[in-house]
Amino acid sequence: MNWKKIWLETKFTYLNYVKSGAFRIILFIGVILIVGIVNIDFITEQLFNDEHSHTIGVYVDEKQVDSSMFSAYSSEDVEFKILNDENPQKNIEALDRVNPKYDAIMVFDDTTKRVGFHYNAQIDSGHLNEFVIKAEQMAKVFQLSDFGLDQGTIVTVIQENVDYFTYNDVDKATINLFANLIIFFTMFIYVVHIGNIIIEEKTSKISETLLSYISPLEMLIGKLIGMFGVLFTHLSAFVLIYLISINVFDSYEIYDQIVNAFNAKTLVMMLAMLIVGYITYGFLYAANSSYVDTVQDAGSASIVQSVILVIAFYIALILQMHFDATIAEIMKFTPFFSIFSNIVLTSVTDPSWGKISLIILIQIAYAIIIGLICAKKFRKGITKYDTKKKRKIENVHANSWGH
Amino acid sequence: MRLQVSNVYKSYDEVKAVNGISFSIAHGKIMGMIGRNGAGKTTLIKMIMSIIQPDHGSVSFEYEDDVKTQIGYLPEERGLYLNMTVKDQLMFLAQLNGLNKMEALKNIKYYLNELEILKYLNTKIKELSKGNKQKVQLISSLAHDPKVLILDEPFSGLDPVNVSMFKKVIRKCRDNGKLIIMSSHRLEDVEEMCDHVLFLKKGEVLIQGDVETIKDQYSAGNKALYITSENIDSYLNEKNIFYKKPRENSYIVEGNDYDVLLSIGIEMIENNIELLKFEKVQVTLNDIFIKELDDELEKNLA
Repeated sequence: MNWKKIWLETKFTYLNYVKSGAFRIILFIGVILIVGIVNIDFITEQLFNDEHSHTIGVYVDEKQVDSSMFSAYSSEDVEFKILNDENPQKNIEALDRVNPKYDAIMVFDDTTKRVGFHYNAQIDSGHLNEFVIKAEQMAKVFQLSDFGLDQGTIVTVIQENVDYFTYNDVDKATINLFANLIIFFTMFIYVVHIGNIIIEEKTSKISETLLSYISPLEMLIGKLIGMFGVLFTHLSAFVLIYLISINVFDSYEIYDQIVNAFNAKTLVMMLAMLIVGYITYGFLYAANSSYVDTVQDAGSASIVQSVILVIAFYIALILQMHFDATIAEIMKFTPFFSIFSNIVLTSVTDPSWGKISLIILIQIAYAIIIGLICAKKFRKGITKYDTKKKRKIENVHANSWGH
Repeated sequence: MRLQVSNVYKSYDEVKAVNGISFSIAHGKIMGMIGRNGAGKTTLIKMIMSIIQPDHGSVSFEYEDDVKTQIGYLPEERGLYLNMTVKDQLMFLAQLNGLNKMEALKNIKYYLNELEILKYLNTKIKELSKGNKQKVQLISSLAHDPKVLILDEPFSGLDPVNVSMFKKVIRKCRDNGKLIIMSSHRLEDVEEMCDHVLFLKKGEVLIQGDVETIKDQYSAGNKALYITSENIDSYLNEKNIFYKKPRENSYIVEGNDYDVLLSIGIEMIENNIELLKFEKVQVTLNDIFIKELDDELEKNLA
């Protein structure tokens, strides 16, 4: 193995990509996404904030309930308005329209002592939750007033008596998803590109020239390291842009949440799986791409590993939503598929450092074995041309003799 | 230095690409490799370059240890990174072969100048004409000053001016002691440029040796062309001389030796036949190639 040649191939692959339009496009999209993430609160507020005040129409017998209760429950966001038109059905049906006069209608039924809460589904979930809580409290007042309790006792009973304290408000699942998405897109942007370079060189016969200077393995390792350099450059640029953005826009909220939620074990596992996944899938894409003779064959060369990659990502998503310790334990030593699920496993179960080391070592062993098999396949594929055509010609001969 | 190929075999699945080929060639010589598509030329070239290993037999370079880095290869189908500049492309390939930046740039500029494209040093390859791309490809095989040069169809797609320029550079390389292997379908070029020839058919050597020796072998029996002012069919029939008549008043006669053919000409003059032209018919590699194909066709028909 000539490391000087590998270095030259690495440098050439890196510079070739960095000078291309694709590098700048990814950088540009990354900058837009990062600036968007930093200002996500502002954007959400501008796009989705439901600023208008809500009005809830109330049908109630004022002899039964003290009307001052409705004034007490009214706020900046909502006004409870007692209606005297004696035609609740008309207003309830009107809720079906896009912009109804009332956002909800509450009907206090004297006979059943139940409260009907009819609402327009366009109310955002935050406000709806708030209105429902208020409606439930009003319903309790409505029911308890029949028991002859005094107003002070009723208020004590219906008031919220649970205090909520928030910790680690960025869910672990969000961190897993964030880490897995980075790896997933790394695979689909950079690793797939390795396959594409090889297909391009093979089909345009560049590799034929290169092979007189460099061995297939040196060429492959050079390309893998070169593209990893591109990945590293992009990630470094994104981190730098993010740090600049949070300073420029003075928005540290998400940064603090991420830093607090990301523990060392998850970070180590994420980096290890990123590298192991890159090597494993990089070799796999390269090996299959080396057998492509024409650009038309390119799709079939990447379909198998792309399907494996997507399945692996979905397994991790399923584990994230419904964590199952047995499946996670089985998955952790599975080649190809465990790249993503190991991050979920680490985040959720908080394994010991010894167990993390064992998982990483086994994955490295898989990467070496897969790398060796794929390198052998690559060496054969990159030097072989038109095998399919030859087979076709043979068939023609056979058919001719047959006739 | 001498390239020694001894009894090499290579099969792909059930196809025998190379089937027991042996030859030898010394430095300072050009060997032409001829054969139809699928004759085994590219496989043989790849084995010489150690890109693929023979199933059996050996390829060796006498008196040289690390020849692999001293081979320059011009592939049949040109492959260049179209978005790179001429300089970046050539520097990359030259450096891969062990040259430092200074040496690489010096050699690249020398050959760009030789092929009259120095002004395109910083131009992207995709902006070059087809002929200039071919020149860049040739330079990529020469820039590291290899001892062995393998040229697969070096003149295909070139205009006559560029063909002449390529030939000049190739001859210069031969005169500098490089061992050159050239594969071409243009037999007149092989005949003009090569000292040796290797004629392959279905992975086997059909003919090999010095170009002149082979031509002499195929010229055995000698032929002469007689062009007369009148039709002499009856004269030749009367004398029991067998002939071929390519056109009116032109006769090709085959004889055991040149003296016999000359005496036929003298006899014509003595018989008051106006002989406008008399010349010995030279056999060309093209004739030999076609003859071999005809023989093959006859065999198959039989």
